[in-house]
Amino acid sequence: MDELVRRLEAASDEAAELRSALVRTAASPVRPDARGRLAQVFDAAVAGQAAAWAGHVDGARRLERELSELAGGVRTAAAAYREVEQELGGVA
Amino acid sequence: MDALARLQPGTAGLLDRVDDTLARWGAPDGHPVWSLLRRTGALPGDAVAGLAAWPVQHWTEQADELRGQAEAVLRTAGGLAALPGWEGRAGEAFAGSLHASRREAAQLAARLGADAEHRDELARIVTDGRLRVARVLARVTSSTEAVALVTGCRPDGRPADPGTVPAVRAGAAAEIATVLLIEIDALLTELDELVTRGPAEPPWEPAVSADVSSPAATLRVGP
Repeated sequence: MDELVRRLEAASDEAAELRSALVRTAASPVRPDARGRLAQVFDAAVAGQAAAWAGHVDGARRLERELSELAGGVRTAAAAYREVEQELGGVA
Repeated sequence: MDALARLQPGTAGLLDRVDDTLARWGAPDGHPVWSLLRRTGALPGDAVAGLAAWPVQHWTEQADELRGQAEAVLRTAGGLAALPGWEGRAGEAFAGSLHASRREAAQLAARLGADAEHRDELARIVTDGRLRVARVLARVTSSTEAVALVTGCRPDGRPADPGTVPAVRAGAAAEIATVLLIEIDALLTELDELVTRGPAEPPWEPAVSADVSSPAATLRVGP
């Protein structure tokens, strides 16, 4: 189960790395000197893309947290099982 | 550097004349250029310059980044699928949580992929639109209307009466503006639809409590 914890923590770290990479590469494009509808469409496109990108960062954060909590749960279960084994070993 | 980026600087002088003439003399009553000017909200020279400056490469680079990240998330999901479980109630709870995390990872990968496709399509539409505008621009620069705009001569090449030169130039500017703004208007309509639609939503898989995939292996834990 220690191996299971290690692999879950590694998966959580991968999700954290994804989140960091998305935050690093979140730059918006340079706004062209456009007017009228061209400018409106450009601004709408950039706003939509920024919202989608923020959604990906949130998704990565959720995944990182879930996997970290899962690793913590397995660690707790492993400790409980070890305790039981030790008690049973003492009784035997 | 695509065709529009190469052509636009060299044609800026002609387009400035188009914009100045339209601003100063207007266009013939009922000319189709009026509705195009209202729809695009910009004079043709400004519109072409703005389009030439759109950062297409930025979107293709971001699409590549998103695809790379989607692949990384799928690898993480694959690693989760290979994790062993164990028997017992705690093991069942773990299997349920693990399944939920795998689903979360798969959904995230699908959203990243859908966003990448969306940005690729945006870049493709802008690239194709720029090419169409560049072709029109190339035709316009060697057109009789361009000659009439610059020289004040009638489109048939004969000198115009001095009093009619402004009208000749205004008519020529309106014709040039129309053919350019038709392409830009079509491009903006296509982009509007894409931006409004947004990236495709991946299919949502609702959680089913009994739908817990078997772990790759099962540990026996306990006495």
